[in-house]
Amino acid sequence: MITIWLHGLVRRRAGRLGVAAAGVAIAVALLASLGAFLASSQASMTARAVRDVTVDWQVQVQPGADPAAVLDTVRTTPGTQQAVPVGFGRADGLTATTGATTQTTGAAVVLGLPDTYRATFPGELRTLAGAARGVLLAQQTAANLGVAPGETITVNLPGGAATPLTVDGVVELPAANSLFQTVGAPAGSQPNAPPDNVVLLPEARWQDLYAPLTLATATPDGTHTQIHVARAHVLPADPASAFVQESGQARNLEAHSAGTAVVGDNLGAALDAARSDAAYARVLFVFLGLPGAVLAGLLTMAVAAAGAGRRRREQALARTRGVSTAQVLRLAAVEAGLVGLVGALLGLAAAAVVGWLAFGAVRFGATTASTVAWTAGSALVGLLIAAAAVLVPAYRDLRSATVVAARRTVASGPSRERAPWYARYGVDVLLLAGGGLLVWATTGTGYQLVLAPEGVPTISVSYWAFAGPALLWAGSGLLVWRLVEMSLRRRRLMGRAVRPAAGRLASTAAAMMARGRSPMARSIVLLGLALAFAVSTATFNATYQAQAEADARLTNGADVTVTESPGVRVGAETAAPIAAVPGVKAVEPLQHRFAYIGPDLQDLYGVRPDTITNVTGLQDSYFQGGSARALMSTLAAAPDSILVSAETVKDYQLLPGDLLNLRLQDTTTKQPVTVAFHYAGIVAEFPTAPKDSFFVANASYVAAKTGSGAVGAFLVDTGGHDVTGVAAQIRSRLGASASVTDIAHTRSTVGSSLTAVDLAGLTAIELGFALVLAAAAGGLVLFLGLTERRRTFAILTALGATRRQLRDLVTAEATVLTVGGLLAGAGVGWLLSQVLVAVLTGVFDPPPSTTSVPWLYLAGATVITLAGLGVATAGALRQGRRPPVAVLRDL
Amino acid sequence: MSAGQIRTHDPILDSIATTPLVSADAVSRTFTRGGIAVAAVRPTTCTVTPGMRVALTGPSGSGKSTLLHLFAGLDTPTAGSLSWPGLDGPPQGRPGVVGTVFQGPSLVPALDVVENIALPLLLAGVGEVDSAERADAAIRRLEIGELARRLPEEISGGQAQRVAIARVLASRPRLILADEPTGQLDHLTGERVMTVLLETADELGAALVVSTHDEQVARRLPHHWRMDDGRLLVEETS
Repeated sequence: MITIWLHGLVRRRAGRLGVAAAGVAIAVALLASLGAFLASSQASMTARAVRDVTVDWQVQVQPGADPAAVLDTVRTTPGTQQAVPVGFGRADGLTATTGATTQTTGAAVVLGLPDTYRATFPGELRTLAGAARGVLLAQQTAANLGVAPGETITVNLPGGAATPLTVDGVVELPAANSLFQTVGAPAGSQPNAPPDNVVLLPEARWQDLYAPLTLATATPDGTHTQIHVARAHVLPADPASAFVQESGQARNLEAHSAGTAVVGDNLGAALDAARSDAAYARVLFVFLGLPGAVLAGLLTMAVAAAGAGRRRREQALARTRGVSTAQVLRLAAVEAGLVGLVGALLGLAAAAVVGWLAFGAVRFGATTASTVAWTAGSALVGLLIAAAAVLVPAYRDLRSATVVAARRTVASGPSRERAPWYARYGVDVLLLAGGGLLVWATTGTGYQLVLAPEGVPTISVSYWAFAGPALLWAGSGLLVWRLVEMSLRRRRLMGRAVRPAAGRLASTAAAMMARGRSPMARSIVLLGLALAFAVSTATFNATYQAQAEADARLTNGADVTVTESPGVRVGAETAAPIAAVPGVKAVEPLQHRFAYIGPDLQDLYGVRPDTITNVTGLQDSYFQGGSARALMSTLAAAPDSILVSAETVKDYQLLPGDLLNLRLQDTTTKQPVTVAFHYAGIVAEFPTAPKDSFFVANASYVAAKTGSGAVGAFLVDTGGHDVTGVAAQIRSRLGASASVTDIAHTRSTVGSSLTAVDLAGLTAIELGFALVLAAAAGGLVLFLGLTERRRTFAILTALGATRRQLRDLVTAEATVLTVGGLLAGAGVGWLLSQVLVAVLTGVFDPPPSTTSVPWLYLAGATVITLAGLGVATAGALRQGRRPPVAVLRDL
Repeated sequence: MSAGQIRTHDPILDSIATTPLVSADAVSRTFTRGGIAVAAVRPTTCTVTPGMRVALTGPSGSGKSTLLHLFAGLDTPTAGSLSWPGLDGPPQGRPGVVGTVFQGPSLVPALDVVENIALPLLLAGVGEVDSAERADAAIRRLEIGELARRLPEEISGGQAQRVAIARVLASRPRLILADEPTGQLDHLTGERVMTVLLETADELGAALVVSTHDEQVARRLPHHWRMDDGRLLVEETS
């Protein structure tokens, strides 16, 4: 009998099976695509995290220990590929005489590098001018001394010895922070600012310079040896596991060296930073991926429910022919199995295509085991959805659909007017209230979704944070259901609402929708949730992109930023040659000074408040106590105004208007001079400024009070065009005296973090599936709902309804579904967007003050949804062209 | 007169009838099922004139329903010509011109009894208030007031047929076509339904064609048409 039934299903109910299988396929495809994404993401997570580490370990030889012995120990440590000694020597200062002037710097660090160093650690040095070997000066040092390759400097060693050296080249030290770290410093105390003056020597010459000193004083101040190590990066794909393994090996070396070596674990530090990013990536998968899969499941169940009436009739017919309940269940299981199997196969095939297109791989996991797990898991979910959509209703019908139950329904009559049980008990309101409370509690002060303390191997994720959005999601769906039911029950109201579409049949249309309000509400909720999914995902993504752009702009300052080397004094007039470079639209000088407030030294930025926004964007979220425009106006109107950090306000108990005496260096006398400012507002972020405390003041006032208008940087606006080309031209004009950076490079750096890369992959899948779900939720459900009412339309036709009248009735229903779905989608989508941004605030840098709405994508989603609904309406009307008696005979 | 060609010779009706309501000239209807052509109605010529009472009898599958559907304009003949001179053209798309009582359930499931009865009137362009009043009148006439606010799924088969007749009554057609109206009813209920149908036709002055395989039902109608294997074979006038 099962074979006959199966044969009959395939031949006679292919459409019903196909549509249900398509719903299952969407769910399976989404899950498997996410698996492919995670596979692609996880496979490279550790590799991406350690990609920019220039030196894996900096093993510092402890005072009194034998560097050669430590080097041997390091070289024999498992996983070590290369290990070379690097000498760190200290000089009291450097001197250079160019023409009639002599420049002298403060303390300097002199490095001794073996010949193989550059080949082993290519990211540590970058040649800017002259030779790649020999005596090299750091860019800033060369600028301070005003020397170029071929010129001579003098190294003033401790104890008074002075050694002249001819400069062979000028280099940049891209990883200066880690290179000059304090090895063995407690976690959280890094990074230290790198030294202003650095000389790099070949190992032999460094030995010549420092060997006498080493002999004279066992450990001259700051002179030591480090072993720089390149490790074999055979690490687990997950950064958290890699961190545990890697830091363990570093600690193991320290244990083996018996106190003669301390490891500066740059590799471990990179993995340490990446593991919270990786945890965020997984959290994002749950937040953004899971709702889509659940939605696809709900869609399948709605699709299956659209054919429930016919299935129930077939089931009843089978029972009247003597088929037992167990056999009926088996038949339903066969249908569910067929739907699940076909859907799973289609879904896996679709996911393979998506994975291949998006990630260039058709695997659903990082390893064979995870591939099998993802494939089996996705297929199992597909089978479960099919079972829930087909088998469960069949079982429920078998238990409840009896003649007695039907009579009870008839007898109770008015019960059909009762609200659903969840609405009577206010479950939707409870869920929303609970969700709101949880979101409020989890996003309160001190909230951190992912907590990965530096140096601590464990990561904690606040799982409560998942519950809030989940409850809000479910509560919103049920609330929409309640509102739709309430609206549809008000037939007069609905009649008036659909009169433009249904004309004289408005009351009939309203009556039909009122009686069929349950499937109608389900359709609207489904469409609303699908659109909300699209809205929230797209808004979250757009907000992330906007903040990443803001971060890049904050980091770089403007399209192109020219930063003068410390010690180089140039005035605002230097802007002229920069402005002359083709492609430059505007140049804005930005002062950079240091100011003491009490014992604290902070950066001070002097701006031209009237014109600063010509070259860079200032968001209101960067400030407190006024908008960006208002506070810039304040600086312009009252030049002695100053913006300070929130921490400073708190530490010094400042109130608006308070006098603030800062000590700045007078350029002429080189002596500190007290400058009076008045506190006007709080600044949290500012272009080129550090993350910690700093000041923003009026540049003219600072120049007047310090006797110098020296500029620290020039912010260059190119209108966003060809920033790399413009930067290159400026760089070639200014030479090594200034550092020129462009936003394109900064953007790529900001966008290369684990979260950014993973979010991009995840949202690419999400946004695509959101469109599919929105179109399917609208079009498919409407089409199936209308198809299931072919008998009604046939009766209407038999009673004399014209094609136009049928079209009006269908259009009225489609209009209600469309308007209801769009309103629900916009409302729930907005709510979820706000919640997602609030809960996942740790992902954003800087935190957004408002969400960014991707209107173009949302317009596209709306168009696709409307197109789906339009196609469904047209399809349903096309079915209405069949002779009504033929339809009535077939049904 | 060849088989299938019917002419009525009732002198009273002849005097009333001026123009046939339906006129079929060598009309046939063939269906294709699984690649096989099945002749539901073979070439048939007949007319239905105003005020006629016709019992269309014959075994199951003889083509009774198909012929009624052709009369109602719900189906299109494969060959021959069909016209409705007394109805000013085909009834399809003109609600209320022909009232049809179908063999199976024919009420819109989502509408209650009153709404179902008023539906053809609304489709015909009658205003909502007038439609409701005429539906109420039909309900009172058929004494089904207790069913007024029930949905089709909440009433029995006999009640549903009475509602379908009320729907016909409310739309005041000039031709009533009833396809096995008592087929699914017990004898007593069937008798009642037929009584209501005849009274309705009398009240409206409409022609009535009832397809049935129940001889007792057929005996209540003066004209007997018999179909067998798609052919209209016998003409009897009682």
